Amino acid sequence: MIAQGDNGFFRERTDTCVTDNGLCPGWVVDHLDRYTTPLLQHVFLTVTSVAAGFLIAGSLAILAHRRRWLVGPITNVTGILYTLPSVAVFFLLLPITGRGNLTAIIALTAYTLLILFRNILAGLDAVPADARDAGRGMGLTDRQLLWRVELPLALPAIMAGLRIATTTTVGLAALAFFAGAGGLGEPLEAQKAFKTNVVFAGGLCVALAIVLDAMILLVQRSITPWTRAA
Amino acid sequence: MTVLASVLDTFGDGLDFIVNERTGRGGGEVGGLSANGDLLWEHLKLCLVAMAIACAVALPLGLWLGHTRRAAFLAISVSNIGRAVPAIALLFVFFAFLGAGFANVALALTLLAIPPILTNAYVGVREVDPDAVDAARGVGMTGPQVLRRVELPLAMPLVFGGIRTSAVNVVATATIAPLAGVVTLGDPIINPSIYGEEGRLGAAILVALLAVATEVVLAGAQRAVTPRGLAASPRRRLMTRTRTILAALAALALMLGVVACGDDDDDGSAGGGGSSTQAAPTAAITKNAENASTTLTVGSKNFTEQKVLGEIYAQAFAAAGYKVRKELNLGDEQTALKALKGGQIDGYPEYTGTALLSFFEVPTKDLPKDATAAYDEAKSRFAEDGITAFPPTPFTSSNEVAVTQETADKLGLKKISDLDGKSQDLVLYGSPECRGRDDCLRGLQNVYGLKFKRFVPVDIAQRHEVLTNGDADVSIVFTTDPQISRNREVLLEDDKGMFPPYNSTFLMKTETADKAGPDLQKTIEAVNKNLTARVMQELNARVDLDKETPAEAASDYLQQFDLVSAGS
Amino acid sequence: MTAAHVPPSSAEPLEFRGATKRYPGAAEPAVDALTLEVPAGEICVLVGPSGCGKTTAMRMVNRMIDMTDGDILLGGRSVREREPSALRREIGYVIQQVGLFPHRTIAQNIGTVPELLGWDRRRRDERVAELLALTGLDEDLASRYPAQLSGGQRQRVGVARALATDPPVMLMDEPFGAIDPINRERLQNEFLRLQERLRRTIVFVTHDIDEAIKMGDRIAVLQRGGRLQQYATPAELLMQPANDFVRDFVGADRALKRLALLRVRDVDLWTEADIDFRLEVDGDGRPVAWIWPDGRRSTSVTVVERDDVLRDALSDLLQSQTQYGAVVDPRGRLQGILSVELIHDFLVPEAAAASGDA
Repeated sequence: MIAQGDNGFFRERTDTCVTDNGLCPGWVVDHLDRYTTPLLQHVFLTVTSVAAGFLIAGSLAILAHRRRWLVGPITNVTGILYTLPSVAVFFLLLPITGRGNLTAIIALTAYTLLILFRNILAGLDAVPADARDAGRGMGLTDRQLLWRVELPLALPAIMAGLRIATTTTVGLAALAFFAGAGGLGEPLEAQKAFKTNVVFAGGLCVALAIVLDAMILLVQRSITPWTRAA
Repeated sequence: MTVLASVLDTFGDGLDFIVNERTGRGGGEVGGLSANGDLLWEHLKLCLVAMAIACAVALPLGLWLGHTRRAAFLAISVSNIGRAVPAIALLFVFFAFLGAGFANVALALTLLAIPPILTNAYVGVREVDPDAVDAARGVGMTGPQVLRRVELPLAMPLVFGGIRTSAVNVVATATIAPLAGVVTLGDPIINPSIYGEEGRLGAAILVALLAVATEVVLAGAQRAVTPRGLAASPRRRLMTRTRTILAALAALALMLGVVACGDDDDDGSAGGGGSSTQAAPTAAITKNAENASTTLTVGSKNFTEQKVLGEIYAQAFAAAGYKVRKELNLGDEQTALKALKGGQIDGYPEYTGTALLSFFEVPTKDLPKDATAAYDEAKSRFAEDGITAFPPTPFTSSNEVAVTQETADKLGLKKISDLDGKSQDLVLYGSPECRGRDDCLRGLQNVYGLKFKRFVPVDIAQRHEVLTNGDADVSIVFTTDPQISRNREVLLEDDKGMFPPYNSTFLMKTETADKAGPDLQKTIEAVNKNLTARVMQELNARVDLDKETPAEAASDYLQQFDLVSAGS
Repeated sequence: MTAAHVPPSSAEPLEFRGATKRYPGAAEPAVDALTLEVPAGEICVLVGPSGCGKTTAMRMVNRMIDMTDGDILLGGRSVREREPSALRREIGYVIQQVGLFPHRTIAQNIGTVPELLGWDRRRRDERVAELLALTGLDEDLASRYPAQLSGGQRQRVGVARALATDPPVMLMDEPFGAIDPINRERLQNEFLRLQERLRRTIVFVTHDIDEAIKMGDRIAVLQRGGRLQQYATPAELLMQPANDFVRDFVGADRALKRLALLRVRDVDLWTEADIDFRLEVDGDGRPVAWIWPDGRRSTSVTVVERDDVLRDALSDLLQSQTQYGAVVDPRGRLQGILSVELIHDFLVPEAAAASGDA
């Protein structure tokens, strides 16, 4: 491929795949280590943001479930957060939270709130009314009803929301390098004219999204056995 | 509370950028309503084109598939796949394969916009009450009539929802279009060097407002086309809106409270330095434990050679035992100097010629022609500002005026003055700052009296590509670029001596340098010893041609020339 | 009889004392000063047209709806003084759609309240097994999910769940309303048999006067606006309706309805000796085939149970080929023979009394 020149430092460039900007698997193999840290950062950013979004949106959904008048305002506020472009949000947050992981995570979390809030709420709303009535009639308190009946029955919808939120966050986390938080966007942008790099880094993003999606689906299957019976 | 005050101050600057013009770092005017309005228009043009094509393609297809109930799997999967592909990756794939330019970026955005429109149109039609469709058929409507009069109106909310989602995505992604060579409202965010930090913030505010406005406008349009029977009552909407405003204010107050009382944690480093090595007998740089108490932040400007140099110095300092942080890829020289003076970085490699022209504004006729004289002049002027300019590198890397072999042959070009009389038919490409610099376009205009047909600002990284793909007739490149020989470019001789010598000298505030101790100068001199033009060119080739990282190239250099020991 | 692990609790009497529910802005109250007493161990049926407040009244007992006035006493204690969740754990609650938890197995569903009360695993499992047997369900249904059961099975699980802690009072809101008529009859009979063993105090809501007459020890007829029209035993209701409303509600076929009050076992049954047909039985004593006087053998045997109400038995007999029915006990063993003629003869004294005050 690349032969060493006279005193060992100067190279003779014989293979033209890379310099001609082609798709060079060999190059990828040689430089795999360049993508490991960004990949790990990407996973970290995605998981953290989705988890934070889940906690916040979940709490909001449980609140709004009983006090319906909250649904409209919460939907609108999270909707605005969803509309704001992440890149803009990174730089709007910059004066406040500086460069780094925190800024990126805040922006990514804000983006997931609408999706998760809507899905968790829809899941809770879809709980059969007679199961709820029977539960209350048997003596379950509101809290017991929520945790033992409503949330478990809302799980399919909640999981669906998690899957959507995760795949979109993987895509957005590719922009996190603007905020100084790394991620796969960093190597992607660093050599954006080099076809091999762009295809590989972009492909890693897609692969990550698929893997995380499948993992959530597996978890969903295992904790909702009743959806597969009958 | 002072944190809150400084934050509000910064936002004030950003808002000021939106309305008031000011002089940018490249010399031209930036900011202000009219300039930002132009950027806004470019942004909208791109988005409208992409949305128009996407709707034209995806709407009929989605509606028809939904109506005939075909290809369910495809229609739904296209959305799932679309969600998983990052917009930026799509943008860069098109950029890498098709190049820069409006058409290519618009194409990428179109592809981005299609999935939500397609899937929503499909689902919207599918979800229409089957009884309504049945009744319509029953009274004798044909297929297309059913679609037009029954299914489409009832599917409107979902169909429009898809258009809204796409529109917002497209507006957001158009923000990073400058990375692919199309200037939009995101330009100040992507290229802050010309616009400044307040430009960055101002543009971020504008982009956010644009996205929200898009959403609101389309939501209004959606309401306008939704059949009356399906709409929510206006009174409920008003109540919801009031509560929304209250909720948003509450959230904002909460955030401000957190900011006011919280800590401002600035995480600026991009990671630790390079090698921490054992002292090997053959290595020129050895670790001195005393240096560990000194932290040095190494910066660099934004092109390959600078990044490599920055890495070399950073790794060398780390090998000498200093604690090192890196802030490479800052921007142009003005940005870098500002960062140095402001304390954001402790040092960066500058060029003697650049310093003389851009910082000290030495007129062309007074520029020293000799490398040593140039260095001495720069050194004494920097010393007046309390900055130490360390001994320079052997190599000099000047701006060069380059043309392709074909152009040189066709027009008989050997020297820059050969362009006289011919330049008015030629297009010049250069970095955004080139326009106002005496060692770039302004110098060519003043010293050689050249007028070009058009000047196009482009990312520095593209300076050779624009020659090979024929966009540029003339481009500004650097002496140490490996692409020159590779692409067989011709460098025109500077017969009127417009360009000064450009040796690299490492700059640092004098007081920082004194605190760092004698190892600092020793390390820099050891590093500089082998940086000949040929070596620098090889290092550039490692990054530009072999697609290695600057860090890898720097590390190789330090090991190859026994500056640090192996095992880093 | 009852489970050894559950201390046999005695049923408690229930009393409505001027219980009223008034919704803000409504012209009439939903329940208007309802006053009646349900003796311990009896089934009180609340019946009436839709909107008469019967369900509201029932739901006031376990405070799913709170009274605006008056009181309800459970075993002498006012329900208003009890904490609602704690109160409800002592009251069995069965609703029309059953409301089983789809995400839990049948065993977990039945064990809901025991789990809330902190029973240990073993105790819960044993109680679940007992209740399955009690309600006629196969024990391997315990690990299935509600979606895998039929409507009738789910209904039984609902009853089992309500009985889990042997509560002193049970509330049942149209529990058999969503079941097809054939299974409804079976479930009603089984429930009555269960009640004979357990003798809980039950408030039973229905809109079906026939069901009310069949199931109730006492019946409360309610008019729109939650006003009590008559509170009496089924026989009294049929023979002495208090006013025109009750008379119309009960219906013009009061004579036939009387048949619903009587059961097969109340009749002195014939034996084979009284008829020309022979009844062939198998080794367990179960009827298998009729032998006609002319020697023909027919396996079409109409079977009625001892506990069946006479009206249902008459209906079955009218359809049979032989006009005779084989009466069996709960295990299917032959007890005697029933015929249309026999029923008529039995009723004659009743009919005479009825026509007397028509």
